[in-house]
Amino acid sequence: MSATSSGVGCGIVLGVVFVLLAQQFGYLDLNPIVPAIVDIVIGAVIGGIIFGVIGWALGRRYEKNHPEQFSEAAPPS
Amino acid sequence: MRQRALRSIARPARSLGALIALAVAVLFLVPVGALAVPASGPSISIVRGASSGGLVANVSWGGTNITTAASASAAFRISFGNSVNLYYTWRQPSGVAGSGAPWSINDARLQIFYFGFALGTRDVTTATGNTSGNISMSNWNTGPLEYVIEGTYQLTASLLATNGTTAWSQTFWVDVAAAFYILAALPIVLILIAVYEFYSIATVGKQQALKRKKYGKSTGSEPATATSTSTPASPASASETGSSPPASPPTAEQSGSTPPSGGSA
Repeated sequence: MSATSSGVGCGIVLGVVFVLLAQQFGYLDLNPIVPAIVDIVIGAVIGGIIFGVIGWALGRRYEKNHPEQFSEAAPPS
Repeated sequence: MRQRALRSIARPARSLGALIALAVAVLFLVPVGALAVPASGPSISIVRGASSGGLVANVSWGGTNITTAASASAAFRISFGNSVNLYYTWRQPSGVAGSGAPWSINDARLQIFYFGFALGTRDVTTATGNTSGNISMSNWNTGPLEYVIEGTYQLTASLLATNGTTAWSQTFWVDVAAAFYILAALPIVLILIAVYEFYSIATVGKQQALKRKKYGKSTGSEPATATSTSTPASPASASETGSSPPASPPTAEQSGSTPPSGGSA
């Protein structure tokens, strides 16, 4: 759950960064305000979804590869 | 101690992410607004199109008509540190029906836009307005902005009448290059943010494990801390209140009992 939310957070930032970088390298036009904001929101949403899935998958894989780190975490019953 | 170390690792990861998100917002909203140079003249209304009100005008960008760069893909390119000469010409054709009074132009303006803000505005004015004529805007460049930005930007060339209204305007595109293509502050910051976020997503599993450890310990450690706080308190209070005297008298008696035995011998 926390890996997924971390992935979503990273994805939102990366989506915004990629849109702005695309403009900086001449692939995108961000000059009129309304389409620019729409592009940024779309980038943030797509980035959040993609990297949320990636974060979830990476979290699962880490949990499988390092079960000892997660078994310690279980609260004492 | 270990819990504190885990907290200190896990907490900056999220707070740094929040800081970066905030930095992105500040970076692209506040400075862009601050960089926006307000028009020095009266407020204008941009009129789209190559001609307006019977005024026929054109602007050349280093000898090329700006209508050839009417799309972002066909943008003019301006290299780092270079400047461009622009040449505005206009005329009021005779016999234009319904055009009313002829425009009296005395101001040639060029604005560069980003996110709808005018990052820079340059005006060249003449003392008196003319219904036809030309104005040369020499050595136009992006100024200090070239150290910050690069990329494709929208520019608007316009001709303003003496009463401040925009008589004619034309939008075109310019690709602003930075030193060594990438050495501008904005892309560098963006790339650094992207690298950090990739690192953050790569270590997301480890961060998850650290968080679980942290929460696991905090839930389970409450009774542990309660016992640990009572344990050190009891020896301290024992030593201060003098609970040792009940222990010491027997030893004193034992030590004192030996000499007589030794003396009797």
